[in-house]
Amino acid sequence: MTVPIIEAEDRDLVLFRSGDLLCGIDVARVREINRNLDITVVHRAPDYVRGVLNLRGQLLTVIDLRRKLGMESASIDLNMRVVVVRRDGGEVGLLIDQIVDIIAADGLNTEPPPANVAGVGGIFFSAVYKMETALVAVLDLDRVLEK
Amino acid sequence: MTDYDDNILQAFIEESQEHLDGIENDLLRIEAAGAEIDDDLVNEVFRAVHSIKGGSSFLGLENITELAHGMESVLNMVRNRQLVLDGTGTSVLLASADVLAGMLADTGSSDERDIAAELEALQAIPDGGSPAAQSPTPSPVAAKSVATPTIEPTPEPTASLPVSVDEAALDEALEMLDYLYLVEYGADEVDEGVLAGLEELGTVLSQVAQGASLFVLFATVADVDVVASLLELEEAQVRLLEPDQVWAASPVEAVDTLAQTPVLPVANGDDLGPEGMLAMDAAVGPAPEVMRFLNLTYDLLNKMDQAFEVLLRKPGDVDALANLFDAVHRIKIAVGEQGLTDLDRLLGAGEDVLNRLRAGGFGVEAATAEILLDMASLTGEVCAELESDSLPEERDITALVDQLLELAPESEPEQHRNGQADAMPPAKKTTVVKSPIVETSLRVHVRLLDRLMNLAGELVLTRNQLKQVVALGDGAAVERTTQRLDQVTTELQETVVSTRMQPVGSVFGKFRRIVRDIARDLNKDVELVLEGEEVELDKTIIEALSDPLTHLVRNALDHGIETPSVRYEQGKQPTATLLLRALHEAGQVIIEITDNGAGIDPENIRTKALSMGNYDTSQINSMGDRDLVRLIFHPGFSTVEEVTDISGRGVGMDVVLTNLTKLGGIVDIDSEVGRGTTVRVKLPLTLAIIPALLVGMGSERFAVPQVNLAELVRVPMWRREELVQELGNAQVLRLRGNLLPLISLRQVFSDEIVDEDHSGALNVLVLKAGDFRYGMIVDELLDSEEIVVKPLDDFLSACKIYAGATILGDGQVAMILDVIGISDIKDLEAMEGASAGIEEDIDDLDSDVQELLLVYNHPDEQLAVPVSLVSRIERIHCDQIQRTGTRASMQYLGGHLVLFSLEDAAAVSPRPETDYLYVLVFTVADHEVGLLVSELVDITSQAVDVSVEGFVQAGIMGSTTISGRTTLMVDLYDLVRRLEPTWIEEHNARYKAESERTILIVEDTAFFRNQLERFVVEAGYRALVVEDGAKALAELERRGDEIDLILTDIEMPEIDGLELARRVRVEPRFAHLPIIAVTSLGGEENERRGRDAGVDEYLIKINREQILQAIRRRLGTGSLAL
Repeated sequence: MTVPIIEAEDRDLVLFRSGDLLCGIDVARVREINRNLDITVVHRAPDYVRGVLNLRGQLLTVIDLRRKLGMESASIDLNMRVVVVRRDGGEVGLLIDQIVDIIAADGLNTEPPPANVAGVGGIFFSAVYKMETALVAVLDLDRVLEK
Repeated sequence: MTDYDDNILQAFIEESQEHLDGIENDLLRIEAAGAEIDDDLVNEVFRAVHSIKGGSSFLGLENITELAHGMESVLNMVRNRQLVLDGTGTSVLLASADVLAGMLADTGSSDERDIAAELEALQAIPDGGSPAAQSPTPSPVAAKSVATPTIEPTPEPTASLPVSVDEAALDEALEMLDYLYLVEYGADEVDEGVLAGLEELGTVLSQVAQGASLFVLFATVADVDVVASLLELEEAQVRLLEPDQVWAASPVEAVDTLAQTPVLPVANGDDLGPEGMLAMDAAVGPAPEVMRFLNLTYDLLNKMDQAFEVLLRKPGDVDALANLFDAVHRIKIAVGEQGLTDLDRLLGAGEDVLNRLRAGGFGVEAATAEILLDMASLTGEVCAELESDSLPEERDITALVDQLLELAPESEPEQHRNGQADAMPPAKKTTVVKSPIVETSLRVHVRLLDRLMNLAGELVLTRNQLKQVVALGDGAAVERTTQRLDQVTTELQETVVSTRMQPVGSVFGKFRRIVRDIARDLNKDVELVLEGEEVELDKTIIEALSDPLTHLVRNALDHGIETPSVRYEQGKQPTATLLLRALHEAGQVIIEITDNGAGIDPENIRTKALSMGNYDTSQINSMGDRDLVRLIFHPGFSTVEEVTDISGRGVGMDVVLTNLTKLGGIVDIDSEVGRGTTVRVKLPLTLAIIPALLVGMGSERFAVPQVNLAELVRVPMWRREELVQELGNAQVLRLRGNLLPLISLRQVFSDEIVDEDHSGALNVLVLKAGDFRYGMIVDELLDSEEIVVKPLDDFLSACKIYAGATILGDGQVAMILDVIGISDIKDLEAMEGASAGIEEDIDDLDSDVQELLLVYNHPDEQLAVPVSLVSRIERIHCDQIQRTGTRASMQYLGGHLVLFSLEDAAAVSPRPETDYLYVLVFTVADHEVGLLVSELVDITSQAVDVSVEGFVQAGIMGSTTISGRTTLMVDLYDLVRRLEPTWIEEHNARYKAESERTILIVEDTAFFRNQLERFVVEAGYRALVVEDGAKALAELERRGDEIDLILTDIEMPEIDGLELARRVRVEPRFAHLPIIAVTSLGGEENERRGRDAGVDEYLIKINREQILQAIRRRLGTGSLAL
């Protein structure tokens, strides 16, 4: 297995908080950011599934990103959003704590994730983007959306 | 692989599968027609196979092309009346069609399948034999030399075709042109124009004059149908050839000897068997096949060189890369055919590298090109050695293969993104395809799409209108537009649903084949009759229907229908009939499978059931024939293999039932010994919108499909101990002498033992999971609704306990419970078995029942009237009815009794004219009235309190299901109110003056709550309405001074009516309040308990007159007015 090479490309990232992490997702994968938090619990679903949402008549499964990244689930507060992302065969919602910004991330400041984030949830990051004041963990969406 | 390719492939597969579906039936019909060939039919099959061949060859699916071609040749002969299809021929064609279908289902690996046997069998059809049966492992090489007298009259045996041709020329010609013909011109037909005419149509490859005739070998695109007429020749003069035939006829003598040599030289010599050595020794000079291989390979190596030249200058050139790949691929195939395994492996590695470069849009780096060039030169060397007729030297190719394997594009030092990668044309013939997901698309008629388009347009228009009128604030216009919107939406929904509809014939059709095959195997003579093939059902249902129906048909053939000799002995027609029928009935589709075979003997089932020991002897012995026959659907039953020996249709019938139930189907079986069996399956038209009952658990709501709902049962608190029993960790419910596994919805969601509320009444849903039932406790029963089913994605479908989800009117999502899934996950059936050990209590009373008189007004509609309201029933002759104007009456107890007919007020079917009819006498508003009905059906005890839903209309208070029939509950009071409104007004006026009193109504069932409230308010009282005892106490606390009387239900959750009465009585402020209990529980014992608790009056529900009289009595209002 070869080490994946991070494409040194510029791209736009949606920045948000999940627990104490500052995360980023490539804008190209985001369909919308929704403030509808009226999530119906689905019993017996995997623990990282927060529930389902009525997205304009369409049924949307919402993943609790905190749980997926190995953190404790949090109760709904008003800053939370559902980030609707595309995936094979449809769309999925990610419940995140707070939207921070949308930035243009230049490729030069993007690096492979350092070994020390490889702990809990580390496998879900594809890169780290260095901002002046903070580090952004860029999510590997395909990993996150694996069952 | 580009999307473009995928789409084409997908379309091809779908289309081909449709063609194949048709082929099967048509072939059977052709066989049945025998020598009376129906040209249209044969042409249809021919065209179907032909278009599969065309498509597959375009997509480079070589095996499919080849097999389709083989079938096409046979069909062509049938079409030209050179061959009559018999059973064997049809079987071969059918088997080939099956193989085609198999390869189509997995196009990715279709070229790996060995189809030599099928091809040989096809070629052998004209000989009337199936060589596949005679020589089970035919050598593909040998197959090529089998003489193929394709078309009559054959001028010469194939082995010595008069013409010969250079293979390169042939290859080239056939790359562009589809057909190879041998044209024979008689002596008088030959002139200068002949060849010119042929050249116009195609390419002349060779011509030979033999005797007086001129034979011309020529290739063209013209179809067999048209070529003769285009050339103005008799059909017999034009003969379709296979390239193989030309090879086989090639003049080189050594061909046959060599062709049978199984393996040709291999690089390392290990695989070379002794025979191979001998054969090689015997050969003089390279065999023609080897020559052909060498020519082809040299040609392709040249192509590779050209491509390398381009690539060294422009590493990213897409076309050159495609050419390179194509060449390597074709050499590899040729090498493989020659048995040069090592070279094959090497080229395979090269091909992989190129394919990955291609797929990733990468260029070919110099270093990569080096290695690939090495590969090419090595190939060239091996070829040279073969040509010089020596065995290739042993070489160590491992290093080179490893080098190739390392050339993974990801690890290339520099990458060349190529923008054109996606636009790259698919390399012809070498496309590597992955298996696409077939079910994801659906063919819809353009007419329907147009309709949808129009409706969508109209929807937009209406929305704009609505926006406009809302902005203007024009109320009337808003209403109009909303109505329009409603109409368009409904229409849109119906149209969308109809796009999913498919005729059931698509499933039925395949049974022609299945029945034929099975009947043959079993030596039975069966005629299959199909009816109602045009009846349409939802695509999902159609697809899921196939397996259960197959099972039922198989069973009918295997166990139901007797062999011809047995039938003959029994005086039946030796040919049995199997009828498969679809029909519409009351908004549902019925599918019937009827055979006129032996039927199922209930006594045999009884014996079997008793011998199995899984059933209670007394239960089995008391079962009726129908119930016994239904036992075959029981899971325990079907696991016993011998059951099939009896005539029972045991094996897997429970699975059939479960699968059909999942589709919302209801299965019924009807069997008569010696006469046959009918299985009826009732199916909904669609699964997209279903009626469901919404239930509550805490603040959450869930939907339960009505089709899974048998009944609703309420277990009052004081009967819980008696009706609900613990069995280890599990609970069971006693229901009319049966024990049902019982689970609470909370328990479904958790594997832990849930601490449940152990007081109050229980709402139990009795659910049907196939033939098995269980009870589920829910907190609350809510509405009954038509819900739109939304499928779940893969995160949730794994939960197993949901059949989908729906979006409710308020926008909230409710999960739809999968009744079968829940029973599986909680293993409830095992519980059922365990509970069978408990002693049965047959004289068990249902908890919350109402005595109902069932009557017919019109025999199509069952009606129910509470027995408690009817004071007398009279049977009269129609002559006794006297009519004055619109009114009817009769002499009754010395006076006149006014007679009503139900249809006068309610929207029910009118009573048919009969000589005798019945009068139900009852009292409303102090008037005695008679209701005319045509027939008395039964008196039944029914838990009506919770199952009455919808259907509220004039004279009807709701509907319920009684013994499987929808039954309308007659509202006698409402009937009178509509027919004689003055009676009610006068009556109310008489009491109203004194009745400014407030009554607290406590009732947990919405239906009765509404009824009671209406009774009370119409009688002129004020009503305060609460749902349970706790709320009643709170209400008393808050506005106790206003309340004059309590009217309460007995069975309620938590604080029930009796408890409420006790608490009211101990509170000095309220101790004086009259309490009237309204219940469905009659009997002295219950009345005594009520009085002990402090209830003043104990009444039976729905008897309006009684209730109001009691209220008046207790409030002292009645006596004043009278």
